[in-house]
Amino acid sequence: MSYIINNNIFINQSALIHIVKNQFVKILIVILLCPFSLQAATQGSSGSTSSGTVEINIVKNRTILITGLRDFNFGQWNTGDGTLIDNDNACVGKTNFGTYGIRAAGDGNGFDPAAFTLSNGIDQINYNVYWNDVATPSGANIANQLTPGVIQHGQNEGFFHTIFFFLFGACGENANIEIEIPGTELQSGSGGIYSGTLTLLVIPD
Amino acid sequence: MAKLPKIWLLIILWLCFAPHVFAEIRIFGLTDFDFGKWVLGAGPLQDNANLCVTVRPPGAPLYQITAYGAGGNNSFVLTSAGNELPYRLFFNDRARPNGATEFVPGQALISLRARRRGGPNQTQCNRPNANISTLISDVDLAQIPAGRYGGTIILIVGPE
Repeated sequence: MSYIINNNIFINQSALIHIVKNQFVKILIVILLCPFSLQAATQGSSGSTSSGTVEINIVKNRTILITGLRDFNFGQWNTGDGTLIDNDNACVGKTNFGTYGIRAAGDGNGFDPAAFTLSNGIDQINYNVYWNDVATPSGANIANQLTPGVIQHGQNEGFFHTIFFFLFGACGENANIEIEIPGTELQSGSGGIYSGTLTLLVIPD
Repeated sequence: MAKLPKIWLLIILWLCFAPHVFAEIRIFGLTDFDFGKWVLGAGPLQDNANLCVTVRPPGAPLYQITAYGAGGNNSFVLTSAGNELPYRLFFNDRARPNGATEFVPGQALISLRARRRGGPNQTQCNRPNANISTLISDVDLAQIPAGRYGGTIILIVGPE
């Protein structure tokens, strides 16, 4: 008799563990399926005042990113030094396949608010910006010269780069920006320290 | 002693003309807004949901509602890792978004009417009589970093 009772207890315990496991799995599934917390709207109850709550949730995907940029410091220029050129690799990462567009805007001048200009506080000199959707300056010969404030569409991120960026958020160098300050511009400006800001915007095509 | 009946009469009259003192109000039928994923170029996000506001006794159907957001000064913002995404919130005392009035955080919208569509005793919001709607600007969405943004709105109703 005692054996039978113990046996029954054993069966009940086993069933209990089974139920708990099932419940745990169900809860786990709900948690995994629910992108946010399990909080939900709460309803008010009757009274002299009544209060309820509503949750708002949204996910913003990482759509596009430009990173790996640095400043360009050309140092001192003397008459006869000619044109100054420098370039820098950058990264453009997207989470979707397809091309992207890039827009560059400088500090502007009286005619064009996005003109690529440097200023010493007295004079302005113009510079050129080139964008290449391949890293390293070896691809500079196929770089596109950017027009101030105008989006240059059709830039390729690279198939495998997109996959790596989408899966791991890894943004490797896959683009190159080149700055060119013509010697004629440098010759025309008065002495001083010239500086300016270049703003780059990337958008998926 | 002769004045006692008049006092009771005054009390009864006062109760008749000031029913809000004993009014009971309830807001329910609220639902969350889950917008899912937003990608660049998808435009602004807007959604609305009907709800119920009941007032008892039904002779005092006017009410006011105040909304509090999750940001500083109860502002309407969604947050993610310290980043804030503002949104706008509207309320209509009819079960439709058209003609809604925009909330100012912490300030009551007044003189709203609790129309008796489902009766004061309904437990389920089967016949809603109000609507709450929200709008998130795509400009704001484009500017915030990627992430999961969420926030709670607290709605408090009171009779007038």
